[in-house]
Amino acid sequence: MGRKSLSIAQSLLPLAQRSAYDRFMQVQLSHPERLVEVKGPKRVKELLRDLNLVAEAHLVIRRDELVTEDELLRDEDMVEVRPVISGG
Amino acid sequence: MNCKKCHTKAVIGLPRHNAAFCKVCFNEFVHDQVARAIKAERMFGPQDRILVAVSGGKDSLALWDVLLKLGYKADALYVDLGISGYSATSREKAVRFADTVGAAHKATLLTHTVQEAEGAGIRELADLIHRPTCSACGTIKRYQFNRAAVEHHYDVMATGHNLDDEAARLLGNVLHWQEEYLDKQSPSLPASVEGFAKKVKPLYRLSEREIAAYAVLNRIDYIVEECPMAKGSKMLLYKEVLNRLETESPGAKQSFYWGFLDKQAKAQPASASMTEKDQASLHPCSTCGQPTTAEICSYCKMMARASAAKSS
Repeated sequence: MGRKSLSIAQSLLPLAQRSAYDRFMQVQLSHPERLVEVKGPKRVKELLRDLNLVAEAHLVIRRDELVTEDELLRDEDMVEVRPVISGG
Repeated sequence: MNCKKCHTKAVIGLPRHNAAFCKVCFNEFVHDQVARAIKAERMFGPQDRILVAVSGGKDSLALWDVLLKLGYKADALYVDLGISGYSATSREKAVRFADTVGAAHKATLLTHTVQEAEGAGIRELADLIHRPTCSACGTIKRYQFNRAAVEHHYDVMATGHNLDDEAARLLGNVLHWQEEYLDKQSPSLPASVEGFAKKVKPLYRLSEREIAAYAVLNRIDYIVEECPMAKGSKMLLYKEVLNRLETESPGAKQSFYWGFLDKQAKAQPASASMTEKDQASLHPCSTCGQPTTAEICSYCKMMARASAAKSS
C-alpha cells in the first residue's frame, strides 16, 4: 500500500504548527488504495466532508467495527473508509 | 446515535428511514426487507429450489447468506470470467463462503469457467469479436446462469441486484427513453417460455450501502476491489449522481424506483404482458435450444464469431 504524504493533515494544520509529538489518525482509502493521516478529533461526518466523499456511497470502519456519522474519531484511531458502490 | 428499536448504541444510520440500528436490529431489518420483497413480488416459496448467481462481491454473497438464514433452499453458481488478477480472488471469496456458511446450511456451489468452456477468457473473447468487455460479460453470465438453472431444475434464479443497481438502470433507460427495456426492470421476471428460468431480485428494497454494512457486520469476506473492466462505466456515473441526490434528499432512490414499480403495476400486470410478448417473439435457438428472438441466440453467435476469428 502506498503511503501518501500528509496532504489532508497539512491542509488542516500547517507544518510549522505541528510538533514532533503530534499524532494523526490513520485513514485507509480505496480506488486507488492509499493511507492518509488526518488530525483529530473529528466526527465521521466531518471526515467524509473533508475528504469530499458522499456518505451514501461509503462505510466508515474503525478497528473492524462500523461507526455512525456522529461518532468522534481520535488521533489514535485506525480508520477505513470503504466505498460501497460497484459498477456491475 | 442510538438504535431506534432497542436504544443501545447504533452501528449504522439510515437517513431514508429516519432510523439507526444496532447490529442485531439491523440484521432483523435486512432480513425483513428481503422477506417483504419475496412476498410482495411472489418470488418463491419455502419449498422452491433457488439458484443464486454469486460473484464473490458483497451483494450476491449477502443475498445467499440472507436466503440461507431465512431457511430457503439456495445453492449458488459462480461464473469464472478469467479476468487476470481479479477472477482468482473473487472465486476464492465465493468458494470460501460456500465452504463455511454454505456448507453449514447444506448448500452447494456450482462453478462455470469460461476459459475451460470456450478456450479463452472474457477479455480475449471480447477482443476477438470487437465488443466491449462488459457487454460480452453480460451475455455470457445471463446465458450460463439461465442454462444452469434450467439444466439443474431450479425453480428460480436469484441475483444480487440492489436498489442502487435498479435505480441507476432506470435512470439510464429513462435518460435515453429506452421504453422497451422498462418491462424487464421488474424484480420478478416469469419463466415466460420453455427454456427460460424465473428470475428474481430479492435485494431491490435495500441500498448498496445497507448491503455492504450487512456484509461487514456479519463478517462476510467479499471482494472489495472493483472489477477492472467496470472503470468509467455509465452505471457508476448514474449511481454517483443518484447518491448525491440521496444525500440531499434521503429516500430519493427508493421513491424513483419503487414509484416506477407502482406505476408499472397499475398500468398492467408486468408478468402477464411479458409472458404474452415473450411467447409471441421467442423460439428455441437452432444451435443450443435456449429461447431467442433470432434464429441463433446472441451467445451462440458470439462464440461462433470468436471461434472464426481465432482460426483465421
